[in-house]
Amino acid sequence: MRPRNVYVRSLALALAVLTLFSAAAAQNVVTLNAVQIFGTIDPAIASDYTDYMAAVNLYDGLVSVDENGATVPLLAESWEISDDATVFTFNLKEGATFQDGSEVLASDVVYSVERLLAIGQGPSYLFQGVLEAGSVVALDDHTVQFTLSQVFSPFLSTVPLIFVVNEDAVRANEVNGDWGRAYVGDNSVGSGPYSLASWERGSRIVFQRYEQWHGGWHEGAIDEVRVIIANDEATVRALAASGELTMTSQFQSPETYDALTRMDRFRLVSVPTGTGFYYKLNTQVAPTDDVHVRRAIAYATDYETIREFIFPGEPLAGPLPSVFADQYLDELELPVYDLELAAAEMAQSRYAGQTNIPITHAYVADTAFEEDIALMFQATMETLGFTVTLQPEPWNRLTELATSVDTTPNVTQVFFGPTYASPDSMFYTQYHSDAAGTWASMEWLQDPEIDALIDAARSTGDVEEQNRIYKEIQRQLVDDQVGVFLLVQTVQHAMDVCLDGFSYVPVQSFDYDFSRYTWTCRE
Amino acid sequence: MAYSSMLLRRLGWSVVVLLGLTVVVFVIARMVPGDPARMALGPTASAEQVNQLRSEMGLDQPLPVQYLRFMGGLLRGDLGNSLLTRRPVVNDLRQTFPATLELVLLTVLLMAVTGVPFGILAARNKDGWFDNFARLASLLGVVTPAFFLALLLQLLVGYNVAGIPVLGRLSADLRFTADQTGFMILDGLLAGRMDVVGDAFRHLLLPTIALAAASIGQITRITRSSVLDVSRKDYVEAERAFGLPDWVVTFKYLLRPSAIPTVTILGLEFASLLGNAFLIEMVFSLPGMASYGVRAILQNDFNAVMGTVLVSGVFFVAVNLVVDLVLGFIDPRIRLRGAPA
Repeated sequence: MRPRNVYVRSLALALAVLTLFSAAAAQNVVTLNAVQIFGTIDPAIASDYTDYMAAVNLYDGLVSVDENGATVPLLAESWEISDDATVFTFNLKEGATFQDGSEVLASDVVYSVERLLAIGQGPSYLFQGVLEAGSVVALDDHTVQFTLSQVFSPFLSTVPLIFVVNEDAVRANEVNGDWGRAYVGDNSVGSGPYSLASWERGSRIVFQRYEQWHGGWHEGAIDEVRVIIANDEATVRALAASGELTMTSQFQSPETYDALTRMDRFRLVSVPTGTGFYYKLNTQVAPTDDVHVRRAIAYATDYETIREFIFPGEPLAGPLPSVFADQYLDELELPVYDLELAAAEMAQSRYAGQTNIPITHAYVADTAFEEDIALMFQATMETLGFTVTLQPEPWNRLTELATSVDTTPNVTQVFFGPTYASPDSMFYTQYHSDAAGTWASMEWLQDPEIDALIDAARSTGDVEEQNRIYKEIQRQLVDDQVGVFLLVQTVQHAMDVCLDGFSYVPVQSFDYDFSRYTWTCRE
Repeated sequence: MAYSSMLLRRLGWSVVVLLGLTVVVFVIARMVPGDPARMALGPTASAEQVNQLRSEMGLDQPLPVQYLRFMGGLLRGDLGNSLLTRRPVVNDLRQTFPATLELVLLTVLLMAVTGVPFGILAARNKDGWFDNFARLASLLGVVTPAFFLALLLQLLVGYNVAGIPVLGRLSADLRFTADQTGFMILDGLLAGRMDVVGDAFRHLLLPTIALAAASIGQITRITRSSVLDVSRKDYVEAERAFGLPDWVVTFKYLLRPSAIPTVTILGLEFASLLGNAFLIEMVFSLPGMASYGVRAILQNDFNAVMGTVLVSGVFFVAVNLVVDLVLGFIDPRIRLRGAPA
């Protein structure tokens, strides 16, 4: 955009004089904003969406996940699974190199797993009780074998989260047996499509294309990725207007998306995800310990209004979004908004005929759409005889409330999505008794039948049996109305019209693997 | 002698104040709800992992033990590790503090070179057009919240002006790390990279204006008021009656005694800007200590909170001591009496 008047042009000229040298710019540069900082670039410690965004670009796993949730080769070109599903043997691709030029070997994979288990953070929780120290061995330079402690059917879907680090580089920089944590926290030691070009913590991180990446580069591949930390809507708009921004985060307001798409340079990309938006109903405290009350809440929820006017999304029939096509229970009916049916359920509950039934509804404070939903809940539920106490809480307060059944509110608005490409990641973390006490499991389900089903699905290698079990879990959870299934989140980005390649992948931040993106405009 | 004793006493009391500050912040930080270990590891971490991290960070110890452990580390120059960045807080502060200080120094410079001359001119042009303009502009600066001005400038510039960056410390094209002093402009100069110097300066333009606006207004008003006050003194009247040139009266006899309130306010503003800069840092995505501290608070990152507060406290004390020294230089009566006028 050009300055509008002489004064401003003079000022711009004066400022330009201050710039005596300009480095040659990379050809295809993607600049996007993130709404939170990158805490770490160590893939063994990654815990949130920005950490995983760095991991998936700087590092490779043995396998990856495509937009259909299918496991695809990456560092491993093939693999075999033993009949009892406890031994996984991966055959590494020859010639794959780390960003320092050294070859990726099976010993690097062994070291990476040992390191992950020893540090005990990040994605290591996925392998507790599944992998032990010493259970991963290099059969030769290009063959690595995993022996599981027990059958764990989602194992292959968790392997993408084992990111391979350069053993030699890490060992050379270990300090006091820290597994190189200090070094890897600041430096990229992976074989991923991008290397770390620069990192101003709290402000910006830049990834630069690794030309010798084993996956190869297509025409229009992205040369450089710049992630700017900017969570203020006005800042994002200013960046877009100044020409710096190529892609927004998924967390912008509808007004910002609107403003950007009115600039000809941007289009709105809207894609359904595997993340559900739920009312988590505390099944252990009154009145939501009564299944009829829970069903009444479900019937008293105006799903269409929420999706159409408050927060965009797709309909959700149960706890599992339909992105898990093979495990999804097709016969589930979409929830309906029907106050008569809600009243009928209340009549069957132990609160029939009562008024001023206290119920708490919590949501993340200062989140406008959640407040709107909460107010709608309050207005509707009060017609059914409830007295609703709204609890807007900061996020860290909600996580603390969730640690005890007595402090967990009756109803809490929560988003939850898969961290690995298996329904197990949806069911275990939310509904298994062993996972109780987190914001993801505020139902406090404590149901031995559900626990048994989840455990059974984990311990069978028979895919059809797994799918049958997952469908049964959905049936029971819906019958028991453990939650209200508001919608499937639609992820939205305002993207430059020249940028292509975003598609949802049901593993956290794997959709921000920029080696899959393309710059379609040619200058 | 009395003056140096006064300064030494101030220094002693400052240490006591800083100690008290550590206790207060330590207690308050731990009253904020939320499990920091759980927040650092994410919702999918197992209970064992959470407990392990809590143990590593000493969070499972009684509060007095945690405090003593922290103070012991402090004496060794170790502020512990940040839960958010997973690295020593000292390293984080070493990177973030210069970024904030650079912004603050430029802001104070802008305040001084703009507010003081404006105030003098306004006083000399009392009730004239410049005086009225300066008073109105000062008022606008004081009543406009810094973050609002920041967003406004960012939007106006982003939509209308090429060549002025709206975000960050340095253009991504310039591969440069300020690893000497942490000050981008100074390190650029030391490295002979004038491109970095110019680019860093342009990046600080909008944040500096946004942060300085309110304080410029205040400095202008204080200076104007002080100059008017001193100019009514008998000795100034006498100097004019003796026929001394106006510029001699202003700059040789009037400016120095007028400077005392201005210097005091400048010092207070300087000290408080370090903490108040966080909104500006957030809007312009500057990786400074203020925004680092705010994130630490929101994430219950206890060590980072303590580190940030300590640095801010020491800075505040140091700046106030410097202000006292400067005041002593400006007004000999302060040095002789051993106390501010």
